[in-house]
Amino acid sequence: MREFTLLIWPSLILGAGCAYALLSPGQGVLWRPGYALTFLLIGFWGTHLVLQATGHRGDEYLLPLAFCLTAIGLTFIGRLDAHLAWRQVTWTAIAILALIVTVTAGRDYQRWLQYPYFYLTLGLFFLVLTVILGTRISGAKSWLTLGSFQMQPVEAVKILMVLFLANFLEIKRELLSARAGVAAWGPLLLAVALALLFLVIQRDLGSALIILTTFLAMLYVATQRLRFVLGGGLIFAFGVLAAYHLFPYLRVRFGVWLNPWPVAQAAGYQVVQGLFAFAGGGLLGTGLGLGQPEFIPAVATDFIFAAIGEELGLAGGLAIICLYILLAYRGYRAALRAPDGEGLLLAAGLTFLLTFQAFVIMAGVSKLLPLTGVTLPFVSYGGSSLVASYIALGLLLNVSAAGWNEQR
Amino acid sequence: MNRSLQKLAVVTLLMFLILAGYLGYIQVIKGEELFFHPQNPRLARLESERMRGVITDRQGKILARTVKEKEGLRREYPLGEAAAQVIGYASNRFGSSGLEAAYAGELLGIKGWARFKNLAAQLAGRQPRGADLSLTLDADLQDLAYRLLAGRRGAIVALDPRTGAVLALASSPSFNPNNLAGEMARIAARPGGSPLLNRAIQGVYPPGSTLKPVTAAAALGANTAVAGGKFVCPGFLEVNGRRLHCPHPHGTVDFSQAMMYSCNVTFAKMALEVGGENFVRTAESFGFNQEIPLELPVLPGRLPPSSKLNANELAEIAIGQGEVTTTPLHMALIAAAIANDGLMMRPFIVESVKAFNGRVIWQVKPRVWRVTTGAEVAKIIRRAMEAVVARGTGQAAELPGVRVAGKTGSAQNPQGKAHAWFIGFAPVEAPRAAVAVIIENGGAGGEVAAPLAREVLAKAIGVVD
Repeated sequence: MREFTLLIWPSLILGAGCAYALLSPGQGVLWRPGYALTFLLIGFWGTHLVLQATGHRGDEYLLPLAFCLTAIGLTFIGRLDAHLAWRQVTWTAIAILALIVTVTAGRDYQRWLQYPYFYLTLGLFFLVLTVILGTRISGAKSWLTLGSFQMQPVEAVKILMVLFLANFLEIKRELLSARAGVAAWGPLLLAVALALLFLVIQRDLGSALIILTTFLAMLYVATQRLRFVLGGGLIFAFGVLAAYHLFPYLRVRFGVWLNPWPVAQAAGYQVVQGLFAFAGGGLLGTGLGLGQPEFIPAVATDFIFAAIGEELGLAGGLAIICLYILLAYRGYRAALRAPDGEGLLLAAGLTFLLTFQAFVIMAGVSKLLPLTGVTLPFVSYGGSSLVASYIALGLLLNVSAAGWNEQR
Repeated sequence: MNRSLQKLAVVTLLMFLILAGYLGYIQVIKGEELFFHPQNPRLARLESERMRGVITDRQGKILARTVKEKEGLRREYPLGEAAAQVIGYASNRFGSSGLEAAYAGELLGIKGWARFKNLAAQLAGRQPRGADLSLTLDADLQDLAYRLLAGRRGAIVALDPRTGAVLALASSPSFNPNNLAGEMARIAARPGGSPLLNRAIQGVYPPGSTLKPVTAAAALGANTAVAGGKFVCPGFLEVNGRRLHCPHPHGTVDFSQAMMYSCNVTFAKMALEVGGENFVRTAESFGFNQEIPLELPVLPGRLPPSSKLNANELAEIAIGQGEVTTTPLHMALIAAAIANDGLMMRPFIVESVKAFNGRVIWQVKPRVWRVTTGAEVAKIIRRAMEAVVARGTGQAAELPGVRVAGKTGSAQNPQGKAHAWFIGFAPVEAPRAAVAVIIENGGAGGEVAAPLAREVLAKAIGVVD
C-alpha cells in the first residue's frame, strides 16, 4: 500500500515533464509526450501490480525512488533532446520488463548466486569482447556496435562482478581473513586485476574506479578488515601513479581537474561549460527550459546532472542527492535484514555500486573529482545503464523480500 | 558483517554530504563570480534580452545607455573615444570590458534580489531592466583629458585626494565603442598602439623623477632635519665604481632646490643614507608591491625587496629608474596622498548603484587605503613640490591665482625618447584635485606633460568643491 501511495510522486514528475513538453513549441511533435506519459504510467503502476499479484514482499521505497529518478531524467532528456526522449522511453520500458523478470524469475536469489565462476567468466568475456571489437566513443572504447544498435557491456560487467563477489566472498570469508589464504586470494585478485586491466585498456577509467571501489567495499564488509581496504587503496594509488606516467590522456584529465581555465576552449571545455551551468542555476535554478545547458557536450548522458543543476538550481541538485541517500538507506537496510551472508553482500554491493557511480559522476561534472565519463544511474540517457540499473534494483528487491519472509 | 556494513553506510552518507556542501559552494557562494566569467556563453543571450542600466557621470550626464531599435537593443556611448577604456563596452560579438564588464551583474539586473524581480518582470511580459551606475567621473573633464592627449600614446588620471574619487581616467590612443565591429576590424588590420589597453591602470612605466617625492618621504621620515640640510652636487655620484649623473652639476642645493631642479645626485644620496630597507618600506606604504583596489583591474607598482637591492640599484630606483615600475593611476594616488597629509584614500569610480526607480542599492563610503607618511613630512614635500611649479622644472603647470604643486619626470626607457611625466595637485593650501600625466616617449616632463596637467587641474578644481 505504501508503494502505491509513493508512486504518485514519480507520476506527478512525469506529468509535469509531459506538460512542459506539450506546452513548449516544437517539442511535442517530435516525440509525442502524451503517449510516452501513458505508456510509462502503465509501466510504473503495472510493475507495482505485478509485485502485488505475485506476492513479492520487497522494500516498498526502492521502486518509487528509482522511478522518481527516472522521471526526472526523462523530463530533462525530453527538454534537452527530443530525439533521444522517445528512445529513452523505449529503454525505460525494456528496463521495467527486465526488472519484472528479475523479481519474478530471480526471486530466489540464493539459487542464482550458485554460479560465481560463470558470472566471472561472462564478465571477463564481455570485457575482452569490448577490447577486441569495441567502438571508441568520446575517448572510451567501451561500446559494442551491432548495426545501428550500440551498447555498453561494462554496465552488465559491474553487476556480474557483484554477483561473483557476493558468493565468493561469503564462502571464502574465513579463509581470506586467515593469513594462509593464498588459495582464496589468488583467484580473487586475479579476477579483479584482469577486469581493471581490460577497462584501463579501453580507457574507461570511471568504470574501473567504480569496480575497484565496489570490490574494496564488499571486501571490507565481508572481512571487516580495514587494512585490506587500505592496502587496496595503496595499490590503487600506485596504479594511478603508474598510469599517470604511461597515458598522456590521463595527465590531460588530471590537469583539467586541477585547473580547467587555461584549456577552457580545448580539453577543459566540457568541465568549464558544466561549471557555468551550475553557476547559472544558483540557489533555485533558472526554471525548466529557461537555462542553456545545451552548451555542454554530452549533456543528456554524463552531464545531465549539470543541466539539472542549472535549471533546478542547488535545490534540485540536493533533491537528487537526497534521492540517492534514501536509495542507499533502503538498500543497506535490505542488506542488514538479509537472511544470509550472500544476500547481505549482494545487497550491500549493489547499493554501493549504484550510489557510488552516482557520486562519481556528480562529483566529476561539478569538478569535485576528476571527470570520468559514466552515467548517472536511473537518470542519464543510455539504454545499457538503465537496464543494468533496474536489474540491480530488482536484485535488491529480491534480497529485501527474502529478509521480510525470514522475519515472518 | 553488520558492523562493517553500518560503517560503509556512514561512508556513503558522508560522500554525499561532501558533494552537497561542495555544490552549495560552487552554485551559491562562488556562483556569481563563475557566471560572469567572460567565456560563459550564457552572457551573450542575456545581453541581447536585457536592458542594461544607464551609466552617468557625477553631474548625471549619460556615459552609456541602451536604446531600443527595430533590430533589437543597442548600447550607446555619448562620450565615444574619450572614455572608451574605462566605461568599456558590452557586445554580443566582442564580449565586454571596462566597467560594463566589471558591473555586468548590476547593469543586467541579475545580482541578488534584482534577479528574482527581473524574472517576475519577464514572466509578466515586461522588459527586465538592470540597475544604473552613477560614477565619480566628470564627463567634461574626461573629454578634456582625452583631447589633451591628442592621439599620442599616454594617459591622464585625475583624483579627488580627499576621497579617492576618480574624476578622469583617460587613455590614448582609443577606439570608438559606438562602432565596435568597424573598430575591431581596424585594430586587427593595423595592430600597434594598443587602443583597447587602458594605459591609466594597465600601462606599466618607470616613474622617473616623479618618484622623488617618495624618496623624500623615506629620507624625511627617518630624519626631518633633511629638510633643512645642504647637499653638494658635482654632477655625478659614484657608487661602487659606477657613476650616476645629473644633466649638469647643481652645486650646493637645499632640499627644496633639489626637488625644484630634480637633482638625481641628491635623491640618490638620500636613499643611500636611509638604506634599502627604509626606502622599500616607505615605497610599500605608498602602495608599491600592493594590489591597488579599484573596480577595474589595476597592475600593481613594483620594486624589488630590499634584500635583493645593492647600492647601485637602490640609487637608481631612488630616482625612478631601473627596476621600479608603476601605473599612471598609482602615481596620481601618490600625489593625492601627499596632498592629503599622507593619507592615501582608496580609489573608486562607481559612486553608487541605483535601481531604475532611483532607489539607491549601494553607495560608496570613502575609506583610507594606506597611511603613507606623517602630516609633517607631507607638508614639507608639498612645499618643495610647490617650488617645482613656481620656480623649478614644472613651471608650465603654473595657474594664475592658484597655488599648484607638482613634480616632473622624464623616464628613460629602452623604447626611445624619455616618457614625459607630471604629477601634481592644487590648490596647495587645501588640495581638491590631484593629477598624473604621462606621454609615452614624449620627452621632457616639464615641457610635454606639465602643460597638460595645468589644463586638467584648472578644470578639475572647478568640478569639485
